[in-house]
Amino acid sequence: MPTSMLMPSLSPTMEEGVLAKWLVKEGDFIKPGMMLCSVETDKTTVDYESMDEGFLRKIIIPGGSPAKVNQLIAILSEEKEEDISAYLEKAMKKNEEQLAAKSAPKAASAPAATSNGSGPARATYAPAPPVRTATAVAAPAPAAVVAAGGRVKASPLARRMAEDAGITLDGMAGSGPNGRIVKYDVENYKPLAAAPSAAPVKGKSEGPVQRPLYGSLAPILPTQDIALNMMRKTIGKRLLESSQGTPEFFVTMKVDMGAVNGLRSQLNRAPGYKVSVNDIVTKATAFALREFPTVNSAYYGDFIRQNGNIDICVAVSIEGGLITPIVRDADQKGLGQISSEIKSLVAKAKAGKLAPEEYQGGTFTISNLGMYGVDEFTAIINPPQAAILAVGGISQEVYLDGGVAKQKDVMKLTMTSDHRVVDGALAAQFLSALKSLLENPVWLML
Amino acid sequence: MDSSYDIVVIGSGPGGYVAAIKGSQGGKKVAIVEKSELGGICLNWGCIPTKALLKSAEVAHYLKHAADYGLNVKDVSIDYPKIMSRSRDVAKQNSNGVQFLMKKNKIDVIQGAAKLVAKGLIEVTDAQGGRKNIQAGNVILATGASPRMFPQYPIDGSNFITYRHALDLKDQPKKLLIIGAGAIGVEFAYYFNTLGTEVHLVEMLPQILPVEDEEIAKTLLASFKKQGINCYTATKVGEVKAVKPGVIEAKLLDAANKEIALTVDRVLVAVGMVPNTKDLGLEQVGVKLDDRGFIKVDAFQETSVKGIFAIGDVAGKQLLAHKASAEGEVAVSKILGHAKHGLDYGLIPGCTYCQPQVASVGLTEKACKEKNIAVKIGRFPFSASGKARAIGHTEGMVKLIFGAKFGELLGAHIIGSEATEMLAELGLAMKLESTYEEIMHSVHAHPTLSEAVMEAAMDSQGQSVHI
Ligand SMILES: Cc1cc2nc3c(=O)[nH]c(=O)nc-3n(C[C@H](O)[C@H](O)[C@H](O)COP(=O)(O)OP(=O)(O)OC[C@H]3O[C@@H](n4cnc5c(N)ncnc54)[C@H](O)[C@@H]3O)c2cc1C
Repeated sequence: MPTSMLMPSLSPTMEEGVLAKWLVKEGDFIKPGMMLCSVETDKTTVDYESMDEGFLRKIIIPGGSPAKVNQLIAILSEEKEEDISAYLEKAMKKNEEQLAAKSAPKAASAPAATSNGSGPARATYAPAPPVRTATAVAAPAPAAVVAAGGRVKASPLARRMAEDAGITLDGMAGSGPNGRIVKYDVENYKPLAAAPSAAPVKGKSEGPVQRPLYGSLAPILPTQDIALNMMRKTIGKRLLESSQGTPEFFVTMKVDMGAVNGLRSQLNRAPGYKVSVNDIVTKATAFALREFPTVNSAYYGDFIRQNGNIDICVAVSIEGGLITPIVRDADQKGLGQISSEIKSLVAKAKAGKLAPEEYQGGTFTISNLGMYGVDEFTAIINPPQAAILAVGGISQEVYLDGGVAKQKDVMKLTMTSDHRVVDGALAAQFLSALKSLLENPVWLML
Repeated sequence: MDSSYDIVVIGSGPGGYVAAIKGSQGGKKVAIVEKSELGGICLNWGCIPTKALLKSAEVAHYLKHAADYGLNVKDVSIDYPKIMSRSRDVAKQNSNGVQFLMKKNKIDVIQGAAKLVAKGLIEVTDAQGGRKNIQAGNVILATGASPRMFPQYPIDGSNFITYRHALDLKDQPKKLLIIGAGAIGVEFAYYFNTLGTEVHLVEMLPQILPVEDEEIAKTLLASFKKQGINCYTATKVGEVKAVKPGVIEAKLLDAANKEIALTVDRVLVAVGMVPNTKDLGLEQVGVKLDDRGFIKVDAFQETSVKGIFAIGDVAGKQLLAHKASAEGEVAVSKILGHAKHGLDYGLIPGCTYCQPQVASVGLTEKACKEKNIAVKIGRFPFSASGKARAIGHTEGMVKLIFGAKFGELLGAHIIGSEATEMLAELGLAMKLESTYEEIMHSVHAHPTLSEAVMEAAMDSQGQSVHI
């Protein structure tokens, strides 16, 4: 007997996903537990495990295409040669009816085919909203995000317990029927990143372990295997793909930071402001990108998208991984605004409270390890972006000025570029423009 | 008949036959092996035939009180063989129903006693001694349990009997000693007493129906005493001896060590059940037992041997038919690869069908105390229910236990004439993790006994309308 295989709901907020890749092919015998396909959800990419057994007879949704939750994606049959034509016809009809019913009230959300025939190599979720000219793949996201409206399915007891603990049920995974949140889920809920606002689970303070680090006194930590959480898996997969699949090259430039330091101390005398070096680097980068739009591009396999907006992703390390919230239209914002936006995004990121639109998309990424005493490093591109800037710390360098030894503050910038988009000379020109901006930061006031 | 199956179920009680149907519905090729009647204890010698007998007793009770309802009934007499044959007919019809269900679901029924020879290989010996082997991808053991035997009560089917004989007695005992006041003992006590037998019900523990809430058990005890049943709690049975056929002398020792001497014509032994694990080849294939002798299973009913499952009475915990069926579903969903959760044993309802009936799900008041859970308790007596008064059944109450902090329903206990039917909504409420609010704000039809459930929820918050 043939059976239908449907798009699974892999996260509580998932309405649609992109069937990124089939891991089995038509004719294969499927057993429960086999990996069938990878599905990109609204949050991350998940390998979908089969719960059924049978021969995969027909793939309805090809790899790289979007599908709604519960949409027909393939047909299985018990026997290898069984005739499935009648079943297929019926199933397709039912599927179409269901889709029609679903999309009727909100026709606008139907996924549109991408402008290029074969579609981009990377999935995009929905047509980009009109203002934004580009949509990039989501950066790794924390699991708990606010559900996009609608009712949260939860038992009365779970609701009361969550309320009592000050936990929001939005985005919590439910283990009950159809994802209903029950007592067990609230009891076992662990906020992704310990947030100052979210009440911690009672009795557990997750402060640093007080233990001498050096010397032979302390018991050594046991060797342990730590399971990959969804974020680590996504980071691993995305960045491996990026470093393996991108012809990358690196260009480093040293910048005299004397003027930036001077400007900072002046700015920070203004009441209520505390502008960081990174804020200034962000603003300067946005200006430089305006001059070099090719660097502000994305590579999509058979086309390059030159982005009209300058949306800068700022890498933030959070518990369990990292995330890159976005300063939108950074070239059009003043330093004060950039500074306060970054502060609030970082705080939200650490609390695991970023909304998807705050970390999905972005046209260029800045990663700064200066605060960890790093002089210089290279970063891996956040695909499909064409480049990423790695910012080192400020250090002192002695130089000779007319035979006199003097000291200056320097900072090293390293840009990783995708050679399919950015050529070496262009990268050098971009960095030197950025260097000029940073060495003459008053230009940022223009 | 091809002798190779995806699933072979051993035993056709409520555990086995439900598992077989679920397996077949899941697209598996299924056989069920049964050495006696289809439907197991439950349909043939347990739940169903006892309920048929109890109905006869209830009718007798009504007739005795017909005048209360304005009806004069004369010349009521008991046709004991007819009561028995009605019960056997009901059992037979149910067993035939299982036969039909097996056919409808294309399940091969193999008559005979099954034994595991190796993992996946089963030997079936039929009544004539003929043997055959069948192969199984998965095996589900659902062989049930049997009455526990004691050397001091030699079961002979006449002086000393078990439930099995009681369900097939040709004559009604005049004086009956029932040892054990669990559900089975209590049901027979009500049944025989109502039909006019002098009943002595002995329980070693301090309350009858030891698993039920203390307050409820006390209410039942009071009712039983009023009905004329001689109940002895916290009482041990000393020497019991058949001095001649049909004359049994028994000595009871009450809590104060005072001796009570009785002479009865029958003794019904209803003290515990033991799992049917013998002659199944369990040791041979490596299926392990727990320290009480039941088959050890994981949350998905799988035994220590992969691909061999055990469900129902043979797997321990509550020895109830609906638990057996639910475990059958869990085992099959594991075999089909979509098991998500095992059974939540805190949500298995328990019912006793004497009058007044006793029904409960969840924790007792005492259990909450032992677990240190702060509770709010709501009660509603049927004496305050209009419907109960109208139908002449004002005995009993609804008692609901809610967590003090979150208000969730932790336990529901009902004693009353339709208690077993009324319990269902409370099982659902618990499953849905409801609080007193959902229960008291769900409008209950008037007049019904179930209004007492709503009122008890209100009472837990001091808001009952009718008390
Ligand atoms: C008097 C009485 C009243 C009861 N009333 C209730 C009630 O009201 N409600 C309730 O929930 N429960 C009641 N019970 C309990 C209920 O009957 C059991 O919990 C239930 O029958 C257990 O189901 P099961 O499938 O595990 O096993 P069973 O129903 O015991 O079935 C086991 C079957 O396996 C067969 N078998 C055993 N070994 C083999 C073998 N080697 N090969 C082949 N076949 C084999 C047996 O012949 C039997 O048919 C009552 C029990 C008794 C005795």
